[in-house]
Amino acid sequence: MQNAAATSQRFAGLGLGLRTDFQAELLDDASRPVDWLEVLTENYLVPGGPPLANLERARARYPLAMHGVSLSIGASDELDMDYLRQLRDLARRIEPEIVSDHLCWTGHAGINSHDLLPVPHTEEAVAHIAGRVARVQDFLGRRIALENVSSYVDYSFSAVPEWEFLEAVAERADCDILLDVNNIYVSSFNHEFDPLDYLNGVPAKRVRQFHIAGHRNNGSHIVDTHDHPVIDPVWRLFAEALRRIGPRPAMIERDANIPPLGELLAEVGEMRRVAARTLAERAA
Amino acid sequence: MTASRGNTPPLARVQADFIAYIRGDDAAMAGKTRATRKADAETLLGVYRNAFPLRLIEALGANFPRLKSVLGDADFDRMGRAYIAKTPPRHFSIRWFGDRLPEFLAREKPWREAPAAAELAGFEWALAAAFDAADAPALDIPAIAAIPPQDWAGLTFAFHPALSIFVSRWTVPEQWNALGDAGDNEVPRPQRRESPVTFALWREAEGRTMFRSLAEDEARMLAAARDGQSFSLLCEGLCAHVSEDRAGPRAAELLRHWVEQGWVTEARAA
Repeated sequence: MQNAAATSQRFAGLGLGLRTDFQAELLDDASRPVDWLEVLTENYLVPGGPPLANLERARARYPLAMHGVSLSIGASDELDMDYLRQLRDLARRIEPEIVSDHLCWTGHAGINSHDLLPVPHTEEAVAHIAGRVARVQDFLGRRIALENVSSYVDYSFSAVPEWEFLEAVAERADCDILLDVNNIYVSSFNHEFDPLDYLNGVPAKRVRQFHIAGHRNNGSHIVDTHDHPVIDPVWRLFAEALRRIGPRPAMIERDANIPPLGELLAEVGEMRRVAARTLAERAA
Repeated sequence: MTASRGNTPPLARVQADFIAYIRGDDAAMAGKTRATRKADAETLLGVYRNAFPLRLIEALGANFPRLKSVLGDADFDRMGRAYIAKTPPRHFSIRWFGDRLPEFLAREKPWREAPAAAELAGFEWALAAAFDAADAPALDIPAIAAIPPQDWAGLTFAFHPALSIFVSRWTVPEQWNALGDAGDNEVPRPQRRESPVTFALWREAEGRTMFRSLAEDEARMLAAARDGQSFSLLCEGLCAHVSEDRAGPRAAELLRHWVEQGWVTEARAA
């Protein structure tokens, strides 16, 4: 299996999460305003019809990243082999540049919360998840990247901060990291840590992709809603991430309150400016 | 990574408690998470507990948009919460969460007292199923025309995976249409039919989902054809509806119609 450093030539630059709201407009745009697209895996784990036809169209025009929410790598339930088979089949059909999911769990005893629930940062969880990642990577015949999630609770018995937990899982499992800069910001606000400590603790060589998004600040805590533009502190944190980790494919996620495509592309443009400026400074 | 502190509950225990908490057991997570200077533990855990039904109800709204507009947001929300409590999601994909909603509405009070709601849910679920059913190449008229005459009597047919049959006891498909055209106007409540009407639901090649009612003879012939009966048996079956000399031409006419609508994927000689 290829390692993180051997990132494909096709998977570089700036992308956008493909959503049905604007997919026709974006796929019809001959100017190809972004470098690649990320698709939500579960939207295409259906027997057929327009979703899969649209996925094929997207694939014909852009390099694709496949991003899932159902792996539930941190769950104590058995791995869902029906899901994994469908994931493997779709990945074989689409041949994405990357397959990613989240460092979280989504359900227990067969009940699915359909949420990305935080894992306690314990030795038991590291060992459990590392073993499962190995089985998933073997089954898929390819590496996966795990994304740090936004979290709202901090378990009283977590032994280490999240970045140490993420590093321990990625190292022991030998998997890649999808680093969500907004999620670091959200969790740092919610759990009162310094987001730069997080960035300093992430093993840069394992980071294969960045996510950036907006959120909703409720004063006492932030909820990762993906329904607002990216805020300035997150742009600054993105620059800090680029400074420490280097260039990686980066993208905007927007899942609700979706504006006209032009506004999202303007955000991608902002991401391009931040990346160009930061990477030029870094090289100097 | 350093060793965990004492009193670390096993992962499976924490997860069982977390799920119990978001499903309504207030005490399940007591003492397991930290407060911050800005928020108490309950507020932070509440983010997950509040999101759980809202996300699922939003998914139901996507699959049952006209049921939602008939019930109104508040009743739809109430119904969604009752459905979640009774039928918590078990599939990995939220796409399938509504699969038991028609049955739930038919069985549970107060919804069972308005049976058209269960039929509307069943109809919308069937439309959703047609939308992303498997793809299959459909036969066209030239392919049918090229079948040698001697093969016709024994011919059996296979149908597109997106084609389904819906038996309607209330004027729900009509209501569904009216709701789409109504904007904010009131739509008449569905009426119980004197006798059930069979509808076919399918997906056009361009991806649009369609439905239409079937005449009694067409419904019967389609059911028989989907059961694998040969063309000669299909013609025989039509004799209950039309005179013997009209049965062959009527069967050919219906078959042609099905082919034109992209329903037929295969015609197999015996």
